[in-house]
Amino acid sequence: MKLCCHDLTRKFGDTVALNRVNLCLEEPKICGLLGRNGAGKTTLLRLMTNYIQPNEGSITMDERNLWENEKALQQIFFVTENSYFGEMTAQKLIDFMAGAYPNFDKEQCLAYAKRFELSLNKKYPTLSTGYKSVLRAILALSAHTPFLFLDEPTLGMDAFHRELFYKLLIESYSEAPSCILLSTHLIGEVEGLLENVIILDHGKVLIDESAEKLLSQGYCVSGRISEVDDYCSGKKVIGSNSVGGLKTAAILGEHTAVPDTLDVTGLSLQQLFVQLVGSENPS
Amino acid sequence: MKIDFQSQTPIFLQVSQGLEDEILSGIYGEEEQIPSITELAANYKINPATALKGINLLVDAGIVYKKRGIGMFVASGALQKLKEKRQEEFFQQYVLPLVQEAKRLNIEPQTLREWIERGFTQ
Amino acid sequence: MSTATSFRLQLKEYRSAVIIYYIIIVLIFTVFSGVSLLSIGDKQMNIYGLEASSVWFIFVCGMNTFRANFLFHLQFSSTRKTLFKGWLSSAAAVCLGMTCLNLLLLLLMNFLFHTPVGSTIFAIEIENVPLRLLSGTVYYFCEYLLFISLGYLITIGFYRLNKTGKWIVSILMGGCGMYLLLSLVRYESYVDAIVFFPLAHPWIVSGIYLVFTAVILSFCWLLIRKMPAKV
Repeated sequence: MKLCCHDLTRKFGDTVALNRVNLCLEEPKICGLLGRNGAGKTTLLRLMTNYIQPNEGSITMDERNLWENEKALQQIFFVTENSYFGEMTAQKLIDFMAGAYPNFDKEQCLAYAKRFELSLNKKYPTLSTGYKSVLRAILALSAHTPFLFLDEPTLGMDAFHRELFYKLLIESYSEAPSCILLSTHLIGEVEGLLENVIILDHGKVLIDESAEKLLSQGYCVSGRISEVDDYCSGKKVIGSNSVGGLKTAAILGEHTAVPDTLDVTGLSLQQLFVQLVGSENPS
Repeated sequence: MKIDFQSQTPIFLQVSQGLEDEILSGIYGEEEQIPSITELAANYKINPATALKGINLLVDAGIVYKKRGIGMFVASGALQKLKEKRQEEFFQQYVLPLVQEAKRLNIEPQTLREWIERGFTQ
Repeated sequence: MSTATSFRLQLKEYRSAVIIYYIIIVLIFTVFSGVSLLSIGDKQMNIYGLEASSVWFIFVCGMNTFRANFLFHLQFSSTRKTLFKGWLSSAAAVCLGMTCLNLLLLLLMNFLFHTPVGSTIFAIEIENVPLRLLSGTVYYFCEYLLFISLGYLITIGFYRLNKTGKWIVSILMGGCGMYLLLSLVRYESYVDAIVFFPLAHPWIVSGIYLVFTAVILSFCWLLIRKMPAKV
């Protein structure tokens, strides 16, 4: 199954939230959807789930238009902070999911609920922010739809629940792989998980690449200011930072012979992200 | 094993090296089971594909092998193989640079040998 | 979800409201019947307004069944089309159910307490009693359907509008309502004619109601078809 966005544009009044976005999601993979606040992540997710219509462009599932296409939409499950679950209790929602998604694994979902110590007889609106996230997460991880969109899935969860969530995400994914689009600000927490990285910036796709390839494109050197500056001349520096006499520079490109006096480290996704979309370094 | 996302070494290499270390230090004996891909991925919060890539390196090198439907096991003779491999790496990584530097400083092989022996006794 | 699931889901939304409504109605009826039984003979009391209050109740129901169901359908990968089909069938079911319940209630009151219940159904100018009751039932069903659709249209319109739009429309609607009420007094004879017209021609009026309902529902669908979900 192939979910594609073609020249997707969406405006809200005068603001262009998304600007000619082209994107394809296909095989089972864990993808990160990263971007600063207002970059268009949520708008993109809402467009891809029938919540709103694009002003221009289209979204297709296997060449068919996605808008109001129930069969195609059933291949996608999307949870966000604003997901609406009415006044239903956790138990009722789990029962309802079983009717709405043929591959939903009720046993698994109930087992997950137990591990998170979620009380099943509480109504969704009465749960705390963290437990709302827990309920959304366990519904999503048991849905087993070919596409799963998670928008800030760990919002408000405590450290223990976050760890458990990532663990169950991997277990559920290993058992039955699907295309998971993970939108989050906590890049440090997920960077090992991501196979693909999509970075949105000001409504445009800045990066759409495998994490490994993306990270291999950059590295960090640090050392005395003058030596770092010498080394960096002629290279694509995407960011730098100096503390006292020590300077650290993030460089894009193949890494060439580095003098012994400089330290070389890899770039973490978080660092790379900050350097790429930071407003202090408009490129 | 510890995964360092900031290291220059790709994560899948860190996985295979970490497992090698654990086999060398005897955490997993020969013919004993090592963690599954899912366990590795879930424990270190890495993508299962990455964990698989790391383990496949060990499979290709004959260090571990797959038992269908059961899991991954340390091959017999793996310890020996790993030691030989690490010894070769030791020669490349430590001895060659040592000798090179010694030549630059005009240190006689005899002296170097004596120094190494002194190092062993300390 | 299937249209049947959607139908069941949306029908459930009415359940508690309808139950509460009928508990109140039955309470009022019992109290008034008791009073009228005690004051024997000379001061007979009439109970009016079951239909009028039902129409009002159903109008409010129509106004309360959009937002939650809309967002719920989208969350569970359903479509606006299924939502609308489900709503229409559930609304029709509620209207039909309430029409029948009302008729039963009226017949029961008449039978038990001999309370002269003032209801249009008994005043329809048709000789044949079963036919009269049937025409009354159809008439009320159509009227309820019209009002539930009207409520739905208003709530959809409001959902679609932004804040300023909501203010403007509210003020305009309030103004129109006031004007209508004032002019009712002035044109009393016409109002009487309108009120009594259904008694003489229940079938024609039912038909007119249905046409209006169809027009309102078309507007509803036009608005829902491309309705963006709001956060």
